Amino acid sequence: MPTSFDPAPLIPMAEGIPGPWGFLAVLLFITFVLHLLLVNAVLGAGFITLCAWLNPDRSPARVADLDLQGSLLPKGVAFLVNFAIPPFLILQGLYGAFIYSSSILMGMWWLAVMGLVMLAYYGLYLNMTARGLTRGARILALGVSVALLVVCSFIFVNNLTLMQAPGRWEAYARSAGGVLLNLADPQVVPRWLHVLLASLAVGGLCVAVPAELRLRALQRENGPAESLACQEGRKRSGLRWFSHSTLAQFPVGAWFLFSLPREQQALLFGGDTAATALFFTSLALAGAALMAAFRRNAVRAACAALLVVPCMAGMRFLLRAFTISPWYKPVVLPVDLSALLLFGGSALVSAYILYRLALLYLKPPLPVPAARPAKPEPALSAYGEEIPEDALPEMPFDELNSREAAEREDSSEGAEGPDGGAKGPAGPGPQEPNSQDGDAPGNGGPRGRNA
Amino acid sequence: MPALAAHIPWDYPVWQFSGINGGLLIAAIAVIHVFVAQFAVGGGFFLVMAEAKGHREGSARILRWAHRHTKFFLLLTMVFGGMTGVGIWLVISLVSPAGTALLVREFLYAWATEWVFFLGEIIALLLYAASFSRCRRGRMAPRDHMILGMGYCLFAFLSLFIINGIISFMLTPGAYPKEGFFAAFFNPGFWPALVFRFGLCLVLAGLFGLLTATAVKHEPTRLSLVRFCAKWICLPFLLMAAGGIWYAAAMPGEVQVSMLRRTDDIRPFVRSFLDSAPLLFLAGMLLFIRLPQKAYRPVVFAFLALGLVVAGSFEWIRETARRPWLVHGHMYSSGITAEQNNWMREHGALAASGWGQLRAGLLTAETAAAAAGAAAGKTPDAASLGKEQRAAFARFLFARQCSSCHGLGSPMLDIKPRVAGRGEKGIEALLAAQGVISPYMPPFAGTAEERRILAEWLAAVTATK
Repeated sequence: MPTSFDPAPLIPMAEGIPGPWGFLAVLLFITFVLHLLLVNAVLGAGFITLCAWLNPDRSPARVADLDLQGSLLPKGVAFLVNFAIPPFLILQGLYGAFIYSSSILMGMWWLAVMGLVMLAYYGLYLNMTARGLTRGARILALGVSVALLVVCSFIFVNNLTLMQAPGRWEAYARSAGGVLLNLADPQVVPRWLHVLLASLAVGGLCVAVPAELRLRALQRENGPAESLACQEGRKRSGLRWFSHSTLAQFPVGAWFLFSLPREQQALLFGGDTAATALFFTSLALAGAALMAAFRRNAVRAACAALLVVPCMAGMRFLLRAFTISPWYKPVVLPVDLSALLLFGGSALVSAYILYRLALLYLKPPLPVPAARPAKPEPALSAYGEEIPEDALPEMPFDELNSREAAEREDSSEGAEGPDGGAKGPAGPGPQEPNSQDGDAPGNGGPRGRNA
Repeated sequence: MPALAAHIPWDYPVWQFSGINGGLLIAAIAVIHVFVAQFAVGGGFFLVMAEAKGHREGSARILRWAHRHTKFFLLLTMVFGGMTGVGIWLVISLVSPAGTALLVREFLYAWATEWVFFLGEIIALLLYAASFSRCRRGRMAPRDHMILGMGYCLFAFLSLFIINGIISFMLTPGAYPKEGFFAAFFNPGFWPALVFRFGLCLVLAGLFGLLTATAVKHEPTRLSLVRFCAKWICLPFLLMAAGGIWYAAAMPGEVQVSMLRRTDDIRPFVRSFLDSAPLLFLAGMLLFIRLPQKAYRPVVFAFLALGLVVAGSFEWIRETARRPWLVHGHMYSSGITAEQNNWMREHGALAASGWGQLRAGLLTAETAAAAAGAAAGKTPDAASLGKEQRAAFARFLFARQCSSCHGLGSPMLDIKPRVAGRGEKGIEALLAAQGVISPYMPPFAGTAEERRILAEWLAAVTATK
C-alpha cells in the first residue's frame, strides 16, 4: 500500500444522512446479515446440487431431491437480490463517499453484476424447468449459473474491500475506465475464499436441516425404511459438506486474518474490546457448530452457525468503521418523522398483508372433485404439455378439472399436501406433471423423469 | 446539507469510457426496464381479471392459458424486470453519483418503502403462481387464489406509487428544498404522472397478453382472448391519454417550453410519441378483426415495438424536458448543483475535484513527493498544467461535464459534428454560451482557462478523427 499517497483530496463531500444514524446502522447490519445468509445458502446449495447431479447415482429418490433443491434455487436468488437492496441503499446513505467512489473505479465489473446475476437466475430456472432438457443440459445450466454467482461474489468482495481502502484509489490516475479490481490488496483472495467456504457450510446445512426435520417426522410416524434411509443419507451428506468446509475455514480464516493490515489485526487481539469479543465468540460458536455436526445434530449446528454470521459481520462492521474513520465525517440531518413513519407503517401493513396471503396459501386443499373412473385422456392430463388444442373437446370446466384431478390422484397420490416435502421414491412411473409448478407448499413430489 | 467550503475538493470520481456516453447507457437500461416494469404493474390486474374470466365462463382453456401467462409473466417481470431495475440503480450510481446521492438523501425512506413493496410483490407472485395448478384442479377456491393475485396487484401498484413520487419530483420539485418530504413526494407532477403511468401499465398488460394469447391453438378461445387483450389496450388507453394531457398541462411554463423547443434532443421524441400513441389505440381496435393464427405473430411483435416506442419516447421527453437540470432548479444534468457551479466558475473545476487533479497527474505519490513543500496548501491552478496534463484533464472535464448528454463520436448528441470546423475559439465561444444562448445546457463549470483547455482538446480530437 503506497504510504506516501494521501487520499484525503479524493474523498467526496459526504451527503447529509437522513437520520437517525443508529437506526440506519442497525437496519444495515440486520439486512446485510440476511442478504449474506441468502448468498451463502444459494451459492452453497447450488454447488452441492451441482456435485450431486454429477454423482452417477440415479435413484428416483435422489433425482427427486435434486429437483426439489433445484426448484428452490431461483426463488433463493429472488430473495437474495431483494435483500441486497436495503444494505446497499443504506451503505450509500451512510458511506456514500466511499461506496460510490470504489464502485466507479470498478464500474465495468460492478455494472456487469446485473447481467451476470440475470443469466444465473435464468440458468437456475432452466435447470428447474427441466421440460425437454437432457440431463447434460440441466447440469450445464446449473453449472454456468453457479459459476456466474461465484464470479459475482468475487466482484462484491473487491468492491467492499476497495471502498474502505482509499489509499488504493490512486490507481485511478492510470485507469479511469472502470476496469480496476482490488487485486493488489492481500485480503481480497482469502476473504473471497472465506465467503465461498462459508457458503458451502451454509449450503450443507440447507440440505441437512430439512432432512433431519423430515427424519424426525418419519420416525414419529414410523415411516417406511426406504424414506428413512433416504433422509438419513441427505442429512449425512449435508453435515459432511458443513463440517469439511468449516474445517477448511481454519487455515483460510487464518490466512484472511493475517492478510489484514496490522492495526486491524491488533483490534481483534485486544485492541478493541467489542471486536475482540466478537472475534473469539465467532471462533467458539464455529467450534460449537462443528461439534454439533460431528454429533450428527444438524439443527444444533445450524443454530450455532446462524449466530456465527452476525458475529463475523459485526466484527467486519467495527473494522470498517475503524479503517475509514480518518476520512469519515458524517453529517446527520434532522430526522424527518413523516418519511420514517411512511417506511415503518408500510413495513408493518405489508407484513400483515403477506401474513394473510400466506394463510390463504397454506389453507388445507379442498376435497378432491369426484374422480372420473374412465381412463383419462392423456392430452388433458398434463398442464402445459404441447398438445394440439383442436383435439380438445369443449367441455364443462368442472368436468375437465375433475379429470385432471382424477389423473393426478391416480398417478401420484399423496405427492401434494399441506406439509409438502418429498414423500419417498415414486419409481420411474408416469410423471407427475403438475409438481413442477412448485404447486404445494414446500413443493414435494418426486418425479423420476431422469431416472 | 454540509457547507461546500468546508470540504474542498468535494467531487466524486468520473467513469471515463468510450463507445457510449453515460446518459445513453442509463437511457438504454431505463427504457427496457420501464417497459417491463410497467407491464409488471398492469400485468397483475390483467392476470386476475383473466383468471376471473376463466372461472366465470367455466373455461378450462382460458384458465390453462392464464396459468401459462403467469409463468411467462413471472419469468419476464421478476427476473428481467427485477434485475434491470437493480441495473438502473447501479448505472446511475456509476454515471451520476451526485444525483443518485441526492435522491438517496432526500428519499432514503421512500426507497426503503419501495423495497418493502418489491418484497411483497415477489412473495405474492410466487404464492399466486405456485398455487395456480391447485386452483385449476379444484383444490383451492378460485376466490382465495384471486385474492393472492390481488395481493400482488396491490404491492405492484404501491411500488409504482412510490417510484412515481421520486421520478416526478425530478421534473417538478415544487417547493423543494424549503418544505419537507411529503411536499417533495406529492409534487405538482405526482397525480397526473400516476394516472398516465397506470394507464400505460394496463395498456402494456394487454399488449404482452397477446404474446401468449395468440399462441392458443383452439380458435374460439384464441379469438376470445385476443379480444380480451384488445379491450385492455383500448380502454386504459383513454386513461393514459387523459393522464398525458393532464401531465402536460400541469407542467410549469418553462418545462412546457422545453418540451416544445425545436432542438435535436427532444423534437424527434415528441414527434414519435405523438405519432405512436394514437397508433397504439388503432392497433388495439384492429385486434377486434379476426386474423388467421399465423398472421398474429408479426402483428403482436409490431404492436409490442409500438408500445416500446410510446413508453420509451415518454421517458425520453420527461428526462430531456428537465434539461439543463437533473433536479429542476437545483442540480444540473451534470450532477453539479447551482451553488457548486458558481464556486467552480470562480475557483476552477480542478480545485473542486481531487479526482481531476489525480488524472492531471497532480496527486500521485510520485508527483506529491516531488512537489512536497512547494505547492503544499495551494489551490491547484489549471494554468500551471503541462501539455499532457492539459489533455488528460480536458478528457476528464468532458466526461464530467458533457458526457451525461453528449457522445464523443458515438450516438446521442454526438459532440463531433457540433464542434467540427469551429476551431478552438469557436468552441470556446460555444462553451461560454452554455446556459445563456443555449439555456437548455448548464453553464460551463470552470474558469476561463479551463474552458480553453477543453476547447483546445475538443478541437484536436475533432480534427484528428
